[in-house]
Amino acid sequence: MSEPLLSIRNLKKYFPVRRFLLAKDYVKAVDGVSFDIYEGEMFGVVGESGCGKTTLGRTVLLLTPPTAGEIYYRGEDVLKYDNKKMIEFRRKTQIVFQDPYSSLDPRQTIFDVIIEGPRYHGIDVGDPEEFVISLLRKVGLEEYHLYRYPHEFSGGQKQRIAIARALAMNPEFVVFDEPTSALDVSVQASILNMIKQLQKELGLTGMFISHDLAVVKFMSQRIGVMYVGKIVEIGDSDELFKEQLHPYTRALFSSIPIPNPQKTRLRKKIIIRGEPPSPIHLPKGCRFYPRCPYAMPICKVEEPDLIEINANRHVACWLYR
Amino acid sequence: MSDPILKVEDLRVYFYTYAGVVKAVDGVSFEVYNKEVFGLIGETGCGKTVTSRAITRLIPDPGRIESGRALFRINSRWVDLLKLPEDELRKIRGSMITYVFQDPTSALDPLYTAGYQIVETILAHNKTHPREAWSKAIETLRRVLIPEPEIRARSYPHELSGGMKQRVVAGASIVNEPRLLVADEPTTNVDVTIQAQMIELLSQLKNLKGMSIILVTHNMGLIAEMADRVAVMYAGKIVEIADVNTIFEEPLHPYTQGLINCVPDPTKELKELYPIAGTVPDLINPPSGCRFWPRCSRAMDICKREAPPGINVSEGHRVECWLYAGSGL
Ligand SMILES: Nc1ncnc2c1ncn2[C@@H]1O[C@H](COP(=O)(O)OP(=O)(O)OP(=O)(O)O)[C@@H](O)[C@H]1O
Ligand SMILES: Nc1ncnc2c1ncn2[C@@H]1O[C@H](COP(=O)(O)OP(=O)(O)OP(=O)(O)O)[C@@H](O)[C@H]1O
Ligand code: SF4
Ligand SMILES: [Mg+2]
Ligand SMILES: [Mg+2]
Repeated sequence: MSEPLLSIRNLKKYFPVRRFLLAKDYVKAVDGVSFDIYEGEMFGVVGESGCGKTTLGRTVLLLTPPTAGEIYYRGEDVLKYDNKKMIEFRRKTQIVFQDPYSSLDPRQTIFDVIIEGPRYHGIDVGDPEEFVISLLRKVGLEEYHLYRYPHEFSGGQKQRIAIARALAMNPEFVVFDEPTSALDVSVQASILNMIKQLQKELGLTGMFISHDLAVVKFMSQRIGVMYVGKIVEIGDSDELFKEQLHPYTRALFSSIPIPNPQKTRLRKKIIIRGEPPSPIHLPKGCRFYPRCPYAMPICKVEEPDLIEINANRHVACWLYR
Repeated sequence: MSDPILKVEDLRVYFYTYAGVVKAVDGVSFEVYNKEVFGLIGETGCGKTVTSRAITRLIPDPGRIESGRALFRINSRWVDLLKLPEDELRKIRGSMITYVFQDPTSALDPLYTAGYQIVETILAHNKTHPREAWSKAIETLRRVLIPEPEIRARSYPHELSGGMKQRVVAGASIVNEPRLLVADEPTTNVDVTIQAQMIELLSQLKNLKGMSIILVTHNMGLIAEMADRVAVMYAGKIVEIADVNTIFEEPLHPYTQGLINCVPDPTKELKELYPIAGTVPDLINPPSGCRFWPRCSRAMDICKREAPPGINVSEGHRVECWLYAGSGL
């Protein structure tokens, strides 16, 4: 594997919430996350609702300032970028959101939607119409779509437009935040194929966020599993599906229904009780211990760090110390 | 297979909207057997919710049940729920046939405690002393795996987490020991680990109480996990019905085949997925003939002209597709 394109170290994002008049609490949406994303790979992030996936994606791209931690892009400290470098970083990194309905301005034609970014950044695109048409073709749309408005498109087509808009900036790194969660499976399949194809063709590096394990597996080479603000395990996608080390990952993977009646019913399931803790009042120690079938005394008092098991696997759990 | 408890025949539900008549459910027939999980699957807008609600005439304006029968077996008598007087139907709804909908928050009244809402359901259909109803409510909360049910019974909905609310709703829906539970997307927007708890709960309830479940969902994994028999809906019609293994391993309808193929299976190493070309038709002006033909790679001339009849290809396996005309039983 090549050099990391993006590295984050102990990244945190807390949102203040007011309680009563004076006392302040924090939603610890992202609470000390570290990983490297290598050039040309798609890094999957999977986790349950509210565990901080979107916040992580947005913080990594500095769309919201981190509370603490470091972000390195090609080895350079992004938080120390000057204005010029920052603008360049904004161009090179793009995000595609989950909701195709609200992410496009209803008053703009598709041409305007796509050309806006390059114009703002003063990118020389040659003939703007030809440029946009070539992008539309890349994402499976047609020339005659050019001057139509977002409401004239289906959910899947809107998502294609959002992807074309990101590609218009000629990005190096793209965060896909649940780009197909709002779509039907038959539409999802073509969008996923397309993203995968484009990634290969354009040599994109990216982060693919989803709560759907099957989708993340299909899309990514490596996967980070997130639980209430923390990455608890990182592994090679295929290997992680063969064997999970962290008790949460194991429970999560054993309980996804598989679209195969025989396999899914014969599988041994690990059903964990209870629900994730609130990101405002986290338990001391390991945040999974209240639900963990293997919890030991140390788990209640001290938080386990993410440690390297081998080159392809990291896990944050006292069982592996 | 045991006897049917519900027979739906040629159900049609249309919505009279400003833009035109939406033929949301257009000639749907199926049976639900005793103690089975009957899965109803299909993509957004294909008519799953409308079908499952029409059984007890829960259709909002501007919707109308155009035709059909929904025969429900009570003791050894068949009653047509679509013709029953409203007051008699109301007695059945909430006691013999109950619903769990996707959004647990809207199913609970924010002004009353979880326990009270279950007590209310009991008292609406039984002559029970309120104190007895209260202990039954707590028993029910325990059964749906609510920890410390005595305390939780006194909690208001906003004091409960999403998963907990979903279980209170499940509790209210089973407290009167229904014969038929309709669960409409019971685990959509629910986390995988909570979904696993729900699946376990529904299976336990089914075995414990001997009730039947209509499971409405667009999640193929959930169907594979829970359903005994499956009906696949497309654009207001049931295009194929069979037992769950047949649907997944030997589907006949091109739409079912497409649907099975486009769902990523995490146990396989997939290079690409196989989407279904085209888009879902408009239900105001659905395509003539078979509603799937514009997207079907095997469409023939007749498909464009005439709607295919239901063909019973083998015992318990029915498909609406011209490819199988003449190969019926
Ligand atoms: N702007 C904000 N202010 C306060 N809290 C926030 C804000 N944005 C997110 N949060 C909280 O941070 C936590 C993580 O939210 P986030 O949206 O990142 O989760 P997610 O994993 O993307 O969830 P989902 O799967 O539902 O999209 C949640 O508890 C959420 O309520
Ligand atoms: N109140 C209404 N007015 C007009 N049309 C309606 C109404 N309710 C439903 N429909 C139409 O009926 C069709 C079937 O809707 P239904 O809710 O049964 O779909 P569904 O299969 O349950 O979809 P989903 O998976 O999105 O829940 C849709 O095309 C919808 O537009
Ligand atoms: S650290 Fe302890 S509590 Fe946390 S997952 Fe591992 S064994 Fe369980
Ligand atoms: Mg999110
Ligand atoms: Mg529905």
